[in-house]
Amino acid sequence: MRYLVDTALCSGHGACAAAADEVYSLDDAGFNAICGREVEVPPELEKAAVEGADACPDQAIRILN
Amino acid sequence: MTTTQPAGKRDHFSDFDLDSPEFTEEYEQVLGDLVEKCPVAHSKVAGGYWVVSRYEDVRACAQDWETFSSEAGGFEPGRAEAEAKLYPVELDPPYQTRWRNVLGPYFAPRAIREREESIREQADILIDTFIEKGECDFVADFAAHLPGRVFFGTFLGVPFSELQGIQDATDAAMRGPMEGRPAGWDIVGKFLGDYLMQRQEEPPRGDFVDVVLAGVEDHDGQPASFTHKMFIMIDLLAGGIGTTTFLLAGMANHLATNPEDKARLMADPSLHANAVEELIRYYSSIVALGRTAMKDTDVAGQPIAKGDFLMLSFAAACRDPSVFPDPNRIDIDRKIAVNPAFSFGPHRCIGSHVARLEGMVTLERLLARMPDLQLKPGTAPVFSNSTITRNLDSLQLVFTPGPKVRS
Repeated sequence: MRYLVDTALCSGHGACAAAADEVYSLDDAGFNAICGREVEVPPELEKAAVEGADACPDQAIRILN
Repeated sequence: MTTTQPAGKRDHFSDFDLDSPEFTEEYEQVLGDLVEKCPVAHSKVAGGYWVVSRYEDVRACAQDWETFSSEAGGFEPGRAEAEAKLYPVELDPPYQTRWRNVLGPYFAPRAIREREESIREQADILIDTFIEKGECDFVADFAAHLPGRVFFGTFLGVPFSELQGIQDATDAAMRGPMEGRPAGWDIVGKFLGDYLMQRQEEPPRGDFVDVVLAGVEDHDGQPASFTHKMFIMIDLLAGGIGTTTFLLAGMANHLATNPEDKARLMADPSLHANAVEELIRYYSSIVALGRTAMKDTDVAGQPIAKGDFLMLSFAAACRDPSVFPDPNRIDIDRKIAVNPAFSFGPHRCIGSHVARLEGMVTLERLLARMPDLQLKPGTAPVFSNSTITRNLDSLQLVFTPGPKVRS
Protein backbone atom coordinates (compact mmCIF):
# COMPACT_ATOMS: atom_id res chain seq x y z
CA MET A 1 0.00 0.00 0.00
CA ARG A 2 1.07 3.56 -0.72
CA TYR A 3 -0.38 6.94 0.21
CA LEU A 4 -0.25 10.36 -1.37
CA VAL A 5 -0.96 13.69 0.32
CA ASP A 6 -2.49 16.27 -2.04
CA THR A 7 -0.60 19.53 -1.56
CA ALA A 8 -3.56 21.66 -2.60
CA LEU A 9 -5.80 20.12 0.03
CA CYS A 10 -3.62 19.74 3.13
CA SER A 11 -4.56 22.62 5.43
CA GLY A 12 -2.46 21.79 8.43
CA HIS A 13 -5.22 20.45 10.68
CA GLY A 14 -2.79 17.79 11.90
CA ALA A 15 -5.58 15.23 12.16
CA CYS A 16 -3.60 12.57 10.28
CA ALA A 17 -0.71 12.66 12.72
CA ALA A 18 -3.08 12.81 15.69
CA ALA A 19 -4.81 9.67 14.47
CA ALA A 20 -1.72 7.79 13.30
CA ASP A 21 1.60 9.32 14.30
CA GLU A 22 3.38 6.10 13.42
CA VAL A 23 2.60 6.85 9.75
CA TYR A 24 2.18 10.61 9.39
CA SER A 25 4.39 13.44 10.57
CA LEU A 26 3.97 17.20 10.36
CA ASP A 27 6.35 19.93 9.27
CA ASP A 28 7.16 23.03 11.33
CA ALA A 29 4.01 24.79 10.12
CA GLY A 30 1.77 21.86 10.99
CA PHE A 31 1.23 20.60 7.46
CA ASN A 32 1.80 16.99 6.47
CA ALA A 33 5.54 16.65 6.07
CA ILE A 34 5.43 14.60 2.88
CA CYS A 35 3.09 16.36 0.47
CA GLY A 36 2.98 15.61 -3.23
CA ARG A 37 4.81 12.30 -3.54
CA GLU A 38 3.78 8.70 -3.05
CA VAL A 39 4.93 6.97 0.13
CA GLU A 40 5.14 3.22 0.69
CA VAL A 41 3.33 1.92 3.80
CA PRO A 42 4.68 -1.23 5.48
CA PRO A 43 1.98 -3.93 5.87
CA GLU A 44 1.86 -3.63 9.66
CA LEU A 45 0.98 0.08 9.40
CA GLU A 46 -1.70 -0.17 6.70
CA LYS A 47 -4.58 0.00 9.16
CA ALA A 48 -3.14 3.09 10.83
CA ALA A 49 -2.54 4.72 7.44
CA VAL A 50 -6.20 4.29 6.50
CA GLU A 51 -7.37 5.65 9.85
CA GLY A 52 -5.16 8.70 9.48
CA ALA A 53 -6.45 9.31 5.95
CA ASP A 54 -10.06 9.00 7.13
CA ALA A 55 -9.40 11.57 9.85
CA CYS A 56 -8.38 14.30 7.38
CA PRO A 57 -11.05 17.04 7.26
CA ASP A 58 -9.91 18.05 3.79
CA GLN A 59 -9.72 14.56 2.34
CA ALA A 60 -6.15 15.35 1.42
CA ILE A 61 -4.75 11.83 1.84
CA ARG A 62 -5.33 9.26 -0.85
CA ILE A 63 -4.67 5.61 -0.16
CA LEU A 64 -3.28 3.90 -3.27
CA ASN A 65 -3.47 0.14 -3.34
CA MET B 1 -35.14 3.01 -7.54
CA THR B 2 -38.50 4.63 -6.81
CA THR B 3 -39.80 3.85 -3.36
CA THR B 4 -42.43 6.56 -2.86
CA GLN B 5 -43.88 9.09 -5.27
CA PRO B 6 -42.15 12.43 -4.59
CA ALA B 7 -44.06 15.57 -3.74
CA GLY B 8 -44.55 18.23 -6.40
CA LYS B 9 -45.29 18.43 -10.10
CA ARG B 10 -42.73 16.05 -11.51
CA ASP B 11 -41.61 12.54 -10.64
CA HIS B 12 -38.03 13.47 -9.84
CA PHE B 13 -37.26 9.89 -8.79
CA SER B 14 -37.78 8.21 -12.17
CA ASP B 15 -37.81 11.27 -14.47
CA PHE B 16 -35.14 13.51 -12.98
CA ASP B 17 -33.73 16.35 -15.08
CA LEU B 18 -31.01 18.73 -13.90
CA ASP B 19 -32.34 21.30 -16.36
CA SER B 20 -36.06 20.95 -15.65
CA PRO B 21 -37.88 24.07 -14.41
CA GLU B 22 -39.47 21.90 -11.72
CA PHE B 23 -36.03 21.08 -10.30
CA THR B 24 -35.06 24.77 -10.21
CA GLU B 25 -38.36 25.71 -8.53
CA GLU B 26 -38.54 22.88 -6.01
CA TYR B 27 -34.76 22.65 -5.55
CA GLU B 28 -34.44 22.31 -1.79
CA GLN B 29 -37.44 19.97 -1.54
CA VAL B 30 -36.15 17.74 -4.33
CA LEU B 31 -32.66 17.42 -2.84
CA GLY B 32 -34.22 16.46 0.49
CA ASP B 33 -36.59 13.96 -1.12
CA LEU B 34 -33.76 12.31 -3.07
CA VAL B 35 -31.58 11.87 0.02
CA GLU B 36 -34.44 10.65 2.17
CA LYS B 37 -36.46 8.46 -0.19
CA CYS B 38 -34.55 7.73 -3.41
CA PRO B 39 -30.77 7.63 -2.99
CA VAL B 40 -30.27 6.50 -6.60
CA ALA B 41 -32.81 8.26 -8.83
CA HIS B 42 -32.98 7.99 -12.61
CA SER B 43 -33.16 10.45 -15.48
CA LYS B 44 -34.28 9.86 -19.06
CA VAL B 45 -32.16 12.71 -20.38
CA ALA B 46 -29.22 12.12 -22.76
CA GLY B 47 -29.63 8.37 -22.93
CA GLY B 48 -30.42 8.10 -19.22
CA TYR B 49 -28.36 8.59 -16.09
CA TRP B 50 -28.45 7.79 -12.37
CA VAL B 51 -28.42 10.43 -9.63
CA VAL B 52 -26.55 9.50 -6.44
CA SER B 53 -27.50 11.74 -3.51
CA ARG B 54 -26.49 10.40 -0.08
CA TYR B 55 -23.25 11.60 1.51
CA GLU B 56 -21.76 8.13 2.03
CA ASP B 57 -22.66 6.91 -1.48
CA VAL B 58 -21.37 10.08 -3.13
CA ARG B 59 -18.14 9.79 -1.15
CA ALA B 60 -17.66 6.12 -1.95
CA CYS B 61 -18.27 6.61 -5.70
CA ALA B 62 -16.05 9.69 -5.93
CA GLN B 63 -13.19 7.92 -4.18
CA ASP B 64 -13.46 4.80 -6.33
CA TRP B 65 -12.13 6.25 -9.57
CA GLU B 66 -11.32 2.82 -11.03
CA THR B 67 -15.01 1.82 -10.99
CA PHE B 68 -16.41 5.31 -11.66
CA SER B 69 -14.38 7.01 -14.37
CA SER B 70 -14.30 10.77 -14.93
CA GLU B 71 -12.66 10.29 -18.30
CA ALA B 72 -14.87 7.79 -20.13
CA GLY B 73 -18.03 9.87 -20.31
CA GLY B 74 -17.04 13.33 -19.12
CA PHE B 75 -18.44 15.58 -16.43
CA GLU B 76 -22.07 15.91 -17.53
CA PRO B 77 -24.59 13.93 -19.60
CA GLY B 78 -23.91 13.97 -23.34
CA ARG B 79 -20.22 14.90 -23.06
CA ALA B 80 -18.71 11.67 -24.40
CA GLU B 81 -18.22 13.00 -27.93
CA ALA B 82 -17.24 16.54 -27.04
CA GLU B 83 -14.04 17.79 -28.67
CA ALA B 84 -13.03 20.37 -26.10
CA LYS B 85 -12.32 18.60 -22.83
CA LEU B 86 -12.01 20.04 -19.37
CA TYR B 87 -8.75 18.75 -17.90
CA PRO B 88 -8.05 17.54 -15.26
CA VAL B 89 -11.81 17.18 -14.50
CA GLU B 90 -12.27 14.76 -17.41
CA LEU B 91 -9.16 12.69 -16.72
CA ASP B 92 -8.50 9.63 -14.60
CA PRO B 93 -5.31 8.76 -12.72
CA PRO B 94 -2.43 8.39 -13.37
CA TYR B 95 -2.40 11.27 -15.91
CA GLN B 96 -4.79 13.26 -13.70
CA THR B 97 -2.57 12.62 -10.65
CA ARG B 98 0.48 13.99 -12.47
CA TRP B 99 -1.32 17.29 -13.17
CA ARG B 100 -2.63 17.40 -9.59
CA ASN B 101 0.84 16.91 -8.15
CA VAL B 102 2.47 19.73 -10.11
CA LEU B 103 -0.44 22.18 -9.74
CA GLY B 104 -1.17 21.42 -6.09
CA PRO B 105 1.55 23.50 -4.42
CA TYR B 106 0.27 26.69 -6.09
CA PHE B 107 -3.19 26.21 -4.55
CA ALA B 108 -2.03 25.18 -1.07
CA PRO B 109 -3.11 27.36 1.87
CA ARG B 110 0.36 28.77 2.32
CA ALA B 111 0.63 29.77 -1.33
CA ILE B 112 -2.88 31.21 -1.44
CA ARG B 113 -2.40 33.33 1.68
CA GLU B 114 0.07 35.55 -0.17
CA ARG B 115 -2.78 36.55 -2.51
CA GLU B 116 -5.02 37.90 0.23
CA GLU B 117 -4.13 41.58 -0.12
CA SER B 118 -4.54 41.45 -3.89
CA ILE B 119 -7.96 39.80 -3.50
CA ARG B 120 -8.96 42.49 -0.99
CA GLU B 121 -7.91 45.19 -3.45
CA GLN B 122 -9.99 43.58 -6.23
CA ALA B 123 -12.99 43.39 -3.88
CA ASP B 124 -12.68 47.03 -2.88
CA ILE B 125 -12.35 48.16 -6.50
CA LEU B 126 -15.64 46.41 -7.29
CA ILE B 127 -17.43 47.83 -4.24
CA ASP B 128 -16.18 51.31 -5.24
CA THR B 129 -18.24 51.07 -8.44
CA PHE B 130 -21.53 51.19 -6.52
CA ILE B 131 -20.82 52.22 -2.91
CA GLU B 132 -21.81 55.87 -3.51
CA LYS B 133 -25.17 54.87 -4.98
CA GLY B 134 -26.46 53.00 -1.94
CA GLU B 135 -27.73 50.13 -4.05
CA CYS B 136 -26.44 47.40 -6.36
CA ASP B 137 -27.21 44.13 -8.00
CA PHE B 138 -24.66 42.23 -5.96
CA VAL B 139 -24.38 39.45 -8.56
CA ALA B 140 -23.86 41.62 -11.65
CA ASP B 141 -21.81 44.25 -9.83
CA PHE B 142 -19.62 42.10 -7.57
CA ALA B 143 -20.06 38.35 -7.21
CA ALA B 144 -19.88 37.58 -10.93
CA HIS B 145 -16.67 39.61 -11.28
CA LEU B 146 -14.49 38.99 -8.24
CA PRO B 147 -13.54 35.38 -9.12
CA GLY B 148 -12.56 36.30 -12.70
CA ARG B 149 -10.60 39.33 -11.57
CA VAL B 150 -8.77 37.12 -9.06
CA PHE B 151 -7.96 34.54 -11.73
CA PHE B 152 -6.79 36.97 -14.40
CA GLY B 153 -5.50 39.81 -12.23
CA THR B 154 -4.23 38.19 -9.05
CA PHE B 155 -3.04 34.86 -10.47
CA LEU B 156 -2.13 35.60 -14.10
CA GLY B 157 -0.95 39.18 -13.54
CA VAL B 158 -3.03 40.59 -16.40
CA PRO B 159 -2.58 44.38 -16.27
CA PHE B 160 -5.46 46.48 -15.00
CA SER B 161 -6.05 48.06 -18.42
CA GLU B 162 -6.85 44.67 -20.00
CA LEU B 163 -8.70 43.20 -17.06
CA GLN B 164 -12.15 44.63 -17.74
CA GLY B 165 -12.22 43.37 -21.34
CA ILE B 166 -11.32 39.76 -20.60
CA GLN B 167 -13.52 39.72 -17.51
CA ASP B 168 -16.51 40.96 -19.55
CA ALA B 169 -15.93 38.19 -22.13
CA THR B 170 -15.71 35.61 -19.34
CA ASP B 171 -18.97 36.88 -17.85
CA ALA B 172 -20.64 36.69 -21.28
CA ALA B 173 -19.40 33.09 -21.63
CA MET B 174 -20.56 32.07 -18.17
CA ARG B 175 -23.77 34.04 -17.59
CA GLY B 176 -24.69 35.95 -20.76
CA PRO B 177 -27.55 35.12 -23.14
CA MET B 178 -27.17 31.51 -24.38
CA GLU B 179 -26.58 32.50 -28.01
CA GLY B 180 -23.62 34.69 -27.03
CA ARG B 181 -21.84 32.18 -24.84
CA PRO B 182 -19.84 30.35 -27.56
CA ALA B 183 -18.50 33.71 -28.77
CA GLY B 184 -17.53 34.55 -25.19
CA TRP B 185 -15.68 31.25 -24.84
CA ASP B 186 -13.92 31.90 -28.17
CA ILE B 187 -12.56 35.17 -26.79
CA VAL B 188 -11.55 33.57 -23.49
CA GLY B 189 -9.91 30.60 -25.26
CA LYS B 190 -7.97 32.86 -27.63
CA PHE B 191 -6.88 35.04 -24.71
CA LEU B 192 -5.60 32.05 -22.74
CA GLY B 193 -3.91 30.53 -25.80
CA ASP B 194 -2.15 33.81 -26.58
CA TYR B 195 -1.27 34.19 -22.91
CA LEU B 196 0.34 30.73 -22.77
CA MET B 197 2.29 31.37 -25.98
CA GLN B 198 3.51 34.71 -24.65
CA ARG B 199 4.56 33.16 -21.36
CA GLN B 200 6.44 30.44 -23.25
CA GLU B 201 8.77 33.17 -24.55
CA GLU B 202 9.33 34.68 -21.11
CA PRO B 203 11.45 33.58 -18.16
CA PRO B 204 9.51 31.58 -15.51
CA ARG B 205 7.62 33.65 -12.93
CA GLY B 206 7.36 30.98 -10.24
CA ASP B 207 3.59 30.60 -10.66
CA PHE B 208 1.26 27.78 -11.74
CA VAL B 209 1.48 28.84 -15.39
CA ASP B 210 5.14 27.73 -15.33
CA VAL B 211 4.12 24.18 -14.45
CA VAL B 212 1.23 24.17 -16.96
CA LEU B 213 3.76 25.10 -19.66
CA ALA B 214 6.32 22.56 -18.39
CA GLY B 215 3.57 19.94 -18.59
CA VAL B 216 3.51 16.31 -17.47
CA GLU B 217 3.51 12.94 -19.22
CA ASP B 218 0.13 11.94 -20.63
CA HIS B 219 -1.39 8.44 -20.53
CA ASP B 220 0.88 7.34 -23.39
CA GLY B 221 4.03 8.62 -21.71
CA GLN B 222 4.22 11.51 -24.17
CA PRO B 223 4.57 15.18 -23.18
CA ALA B 224 1.13 16.77 -22.71
CA SER B 225 0.10 18.64 -25.84
CA PHE B 226 -0.45 22.38 -26.04
CA THR B 227 -4.17 21.65 -26.43
CA HIS B 228 -4.18 19.78 -23.15
CA LYS B 229 -2.42 22.70 -21.49
CA MET B 230 -5.18 24.96 -22.82
CA PHE B 231 -7.79 22.61 -21.35
CA ILE B 232 -6.05 22.88 -17.98
CA MET B 233 -6.15 26.67 -18.08
CA ILE B 234 -9.82 26.73 -19.09
CA ASP B 235 -10.74 24.27 -16.34
CA LEU B 236 -8.89 26.26 -13.69
CA LEU B 237 -10.78 29.35 -14.85
CA ALA B 238 -14.22 27.78 -15.33
CA GLY B 239 -14.06 25.73 -12.13
CA GLY B 240 -13.57 28.77 -9.97
CA ILE B 241 -15.86 31.33 -11.52
CA GLY B 242 -19.56 30.41 -11.42
CA THR B 243 -19.03 28.37 -8.28
CA THR B 244 -17.49 31.17 -6.26
CA THR B 245 -20.01 33.66 -7.67
CA PHE B 246 -22.80 31.61 -6.12
CA LEU B 247 -20.98 31.41 -2.78
CA LEU B 248 -20.33 35.16 -2.59
CA ALA B 249 -23.88 36.08 -3.64
CA GLY B 250 -25.34 33.51 -1.25
CA MET B 251 -23.25 34.97 1.55
CA ALA B 252 -24.55 38.49 0.84
CA ASN B 253 -28.09 37.12 0.73
CA HIS B 254 -27.60 35.53 4.13
CA LEU B 255 -26.19 38.74 5.68
CA ALA B 256 -29.04 40.79 4.17
CA THR B 257 -31.74 38.50 5.51
CA ASN B 258 -30.29 37.32 8.85
CA PRO B 259 -29.46 40.36 11.01
CA GLU B 260 -28.67 38.20 14.04
CA ASP B 261 -25.93 36.27 12.25
CA LYS B 262 -24.68 39.52 10.73
CA ALA B 263 -24.41 41.14 14.17
CA ARG B 264 -22.51 38.16 15.57
CA LEU B 265 -20.10 38.13 12.62
CA MET B 266 -19.48 41.87 12.98
CA ALA B 267 -18.78 41.51 16.68
CA ASP B 268 -16.52 38.48 16.40
CA PRO B 269 -14.31 37.89 13.35
CA SER B 270 -13.15 34.60 14.86
CA LEU B 271 -16.52 33.20 13.71
CA HIS B 272 -15.85 33.99 10.06
CA ALA B 273 -13.99 30.88 8.97
CA ASN B 274 -16.63 28.55 10.35
CA ALA B 275 -19.44 30.65 8.87
CA VAL B 276 -17.80 30.61 5.44
CA GLU B 277 -17.50 26.80 5.58
CA GLU B 278 -21.20 26.50 6.43
CA LEU B 279 -22.17 28.89 3.62
CA ILE B 280 -20.08 26.78 1.22
CA ARG B 281 -22.11 23.75 2.33
CA TYR B 282 -25.48 25.47 2.02
CA TYR B 283 -24.69 27.29 -1.23
CA SER B 284 -23.04 24.24 -2.76
CA SER B 285 -22.74 25.50 -6.30
CA ILE B 286 -21.89 22.23 -8.05
CA VAL B 287 -25.19 20.36 -8.04
CA ALA B 288 -23.63 17.21 -9.48
CA LEU B 289 -20.75 15.91 -11.64
CA GLY B 290 -20.63 12.83 -13.82
CA ARG B 291 -18.93 9.45 -13.70
CA THR B 292 -19.12 6.42 -15.99
CA ALA B 293 -19.35 2.90 -14.55
CA MET B 294 -16.41 0.84 -15.83
CA LYS B 295 -17.91 -2.49 -14.68
CA ASP B 296 -21.19 -3.90 -13.40
CA THR B 297 -21.65 -2.79 -9.82
CA ASP B 298 -24.25 -1.44 -7.45
CA VAL B 299 -24.82 1.74 -5.47
CA ALA B 300 -27.08 1.71 -2.40
CA GLY B 301 -28.58 -1.56 -3.64
CA GLN B 302 -29.33 -0.25 -7.13
CA PRO B 303 -27.65 -2.39 -9.82
CA ILE B 304 -25.50 -0.25 -12.13
CA ALA B 305 -24.42 -1.69 -15.48
CA LYS B 306 -21.02 -1.23 -17.09
CA GLY B 307 -21.23 1.92 -19.25
CA ASP B 308 -24.02 3.54 -17.22
CA PHE B 309 -23.66 7.24 -16.54
CA LEU B 310 -24.03 8.57 -12.99
CA MET B 311 -24.30 12.08 -11.62
CA LEU B 312 -22.88 12.37 -8.12
CA SER B 313 -24.87 15.09 -6.37
CA PHE B 314 -22.59 17.03 -4.08
CA ALA B 315 -25.38 19.53 -3.38
CA ALA B 316 -27.62 16.70 -2.19
CA ALA B 317 -24.82 15.21 -0.06
CA CYS B 318 -24.52 18.65 1.56
CA ARG B 319 -28.18 18.31 2.65
CA ASP B 320 -27.90 14.76 4.00
CA PRO B 321 -29.50 14.99 7.48
CA SER B 322 -27.61 11.92 8.72
CA VAL B 323 -24.41 14.01 8.47
CA PHE B 324 -25.83 17.56 8.73
CA PRO B 325 -28.86 17.67 11.05
CA ASP B 326 -31.53 20.20 10.03
CA PRO B 327 -29.66 20.57 6.74
CA ASN B 328 -31.77 23.35 5.21
CA ARG B 329 -30.88 25.72 8.03
CA ILE B 330 -27.74 27.86 7.86
CA ASP B 331 -26.06 27.41 11.23
CA ILE B 332 -22.85 29.44 11.30
CA ASP B 333 -21.69 27.46 14.35
CA ARG B 334 -22.08 24.09 12.60
CA LYS B 335 -18.88 22.03 12.67
CA ILE B 336 -18.21 20.53 9.26
CA ALA B 337 -15.62 17.78 9.27
CA VAL B 338 -15.51 17.19 5.51
CA ASN B 339 -17.34 19.58 3.19
CA PRO B 340 -19.00 17.60 0.37
CA ALA B 341 -19.43 20.79 -1.67
CA PHE B 342 -15.80 20.29 -2.80
CA SER B 343 -16.33 16.61 -3.76
CA PHE B 344 -14.18 13.72 -2.54
CA GLY B 345 -11.31 11.65 -3.85
CA PRO B 346 -8.86 12.42 -6.64
CA HIS B 347 -11.00 15.21 -8.10
CA ARG B 348 -11.71 17.07 -4.88
CA CYS B 349 -11.69 20.80 -5.71
CA ILE B 350 -8.13 22.02 -6.22
CA GLY B 351 -9.24 25.61 -5.65
CA SER B 352 -11.02 25.08 -2.33
CA HIS B 353 -8.65 27.36 -0.46
CA VAL B 354 -9.02 30.10 -3.07
CA ALA B 355 -12.81 29.90 -2.71
CA ARG B 356 -12.55 30.01 1.08
CA LEU B 357 -10.23 33.03 0.96
CA GLU B 358 -12.48 34.92 -1.49
CA GLY B 359 -15.34 34.12 0.88
CA MET B 360 -13.42 35.38 3.93
CA VAL B 361 -12.33 38.60 2.20
CA THR B 362 -15.81 39.29 0.82
CA LEU B 363 -17.39 38.71 4.21
CA GLU B 364 -14.93 41.13 5.80
CA ARG B 365 -15.45 43.82 3.14
CA LEU B 366 -19.25 43.54 3.20
CA LEU B 367 -19.37 43.92 6.98
CA ALA B 368 -16.93 46.84 6.86
CA ARG B 369 -18.34 48.78 3.92
CA MET B 370 -22.04 47.84 3.68
CA PRO B 371 -22.88 47.03 7.30
CA ASP B 372 -26.61 47.78 6.98
CA LEU B 373 -27.13 45.90 3.69
CA GLN B 374 -30.69 44.66 3.07
CA LEU B 375 -32.67 43.23 0.21
CA LYS B 376 -34.12 46.03 -1.92
CA PRO B 377 -37.81 46.25 -0.92
CA GLY B 378 -40.08 44.60 -3.45
CA THR B 379 -37.29 42.38 -4.83
CA ALA B 380 -36.32 38.78 -4.17
CA PRO B 381 -33.16 36.86 -5.04
CA VAL B 382 -33.44 35.08 -8.41
CA PHE B 383 -32.11 31.50 -8.45
CA SER B 384 -31.54 29.27 -11.48
CA ASN B 385 -29.88 26.00 -12.45
CA SER B 386 -27.67 25.36 -15.46
CA THR B 387 -27.15 21.59 -15.65
CA ILE B 388 -24.28 21.10 -13.20
CA THR B 389 -24.53 24.39 -11.27
CA ARG B 390 -26.94 26.22 -9.01
CA ASN B 391 -26.83 29.99 -9.56
CA LEU B 392 -28.02 33.29 -8.18
CA ASP B 393 -28.82 35.48 -11.18
CA SER B 394 -29.83 38.60 -9.31
CA LEU B 395 -29.58 39.94 -5.75
CA GLN B 396 -30.75 43.54 -5.36
CA LEU B 397 -29.31 45.18 -2.25
CA VAL B 398 -29.73 48.60 -0.62
CA PHE B 399 -27.42 50.12 2.01
CA THR B 400 -26.27 53.50 3.31
CA PRO B 401 -23.97 55.04 0.67
CA GLY B 402 -20.31 55.28 1.58
CA PRO B 403 -17.05 56.68 0.14
CA LYS B 404 -14.80 55.03 -2.41
CA VAL B 405 -11.54 53.74 -0.95
CA ARG B 406 -9.36 52.81 -3.96
CA SER B 407 -9.87 55.70 -6.36
